[in-house]
Amino acid sequence: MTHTDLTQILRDHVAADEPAFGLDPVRVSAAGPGCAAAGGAGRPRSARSPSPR
Amino acid sequence: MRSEGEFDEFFTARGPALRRLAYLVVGDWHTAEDVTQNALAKLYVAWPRVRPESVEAYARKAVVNEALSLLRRRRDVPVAQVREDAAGAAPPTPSGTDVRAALAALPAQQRAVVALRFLDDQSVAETARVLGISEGTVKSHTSRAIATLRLHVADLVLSEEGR
Repeated sequence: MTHTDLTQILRDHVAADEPAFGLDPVRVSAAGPGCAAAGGAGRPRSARSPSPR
Repeated sequence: MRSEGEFDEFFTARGPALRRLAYLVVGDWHTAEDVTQNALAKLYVAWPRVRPESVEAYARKAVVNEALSLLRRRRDVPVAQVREDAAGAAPPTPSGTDVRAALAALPAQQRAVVALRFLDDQSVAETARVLGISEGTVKSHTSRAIATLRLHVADLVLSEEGR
């Protein structure tokens, strides 16, 4: 098994059942524990709607 | 100071690949998404002080650390069950199941090494930096992981040919 073989096997495996990417930067920055650790304020830009996309 | 627009761009461009990296370490997409979300949230907080040339490495390290930390907390990876399933003589399993079983048979840190070196195509040195281990340890993890994966992939080839 070469490096390329294994790389291809892993990429095929991952691609086989990969769901649509469900994250977006607004949700992540508002909901993540890192933000809570930094004061819980979430994304500091108020112009963005907090409603889920 | 770096802008939020740059963070959004990085997120959009690299988020899916980071989630794939997490998936290979944790083994399911739902958990991989949680891991990626937590890691990117940490990156968001650190964003203004992370140098542009270091962002990629920072994000990769955050994802892998988050994944390994989560697995350490859980300690419920059903490796024994997966091994039994993979070794069972009964019906041939689809290739996806064999690869999944092979990965599940690896210790978490070996999975992380495999994910970084082969899925993400990182060097031994970069993999060692991300995981905070020596290059020698990366090499030995790689060697052991490949030996285990080869067993499962060899089984797969035989079962496919036997049909």
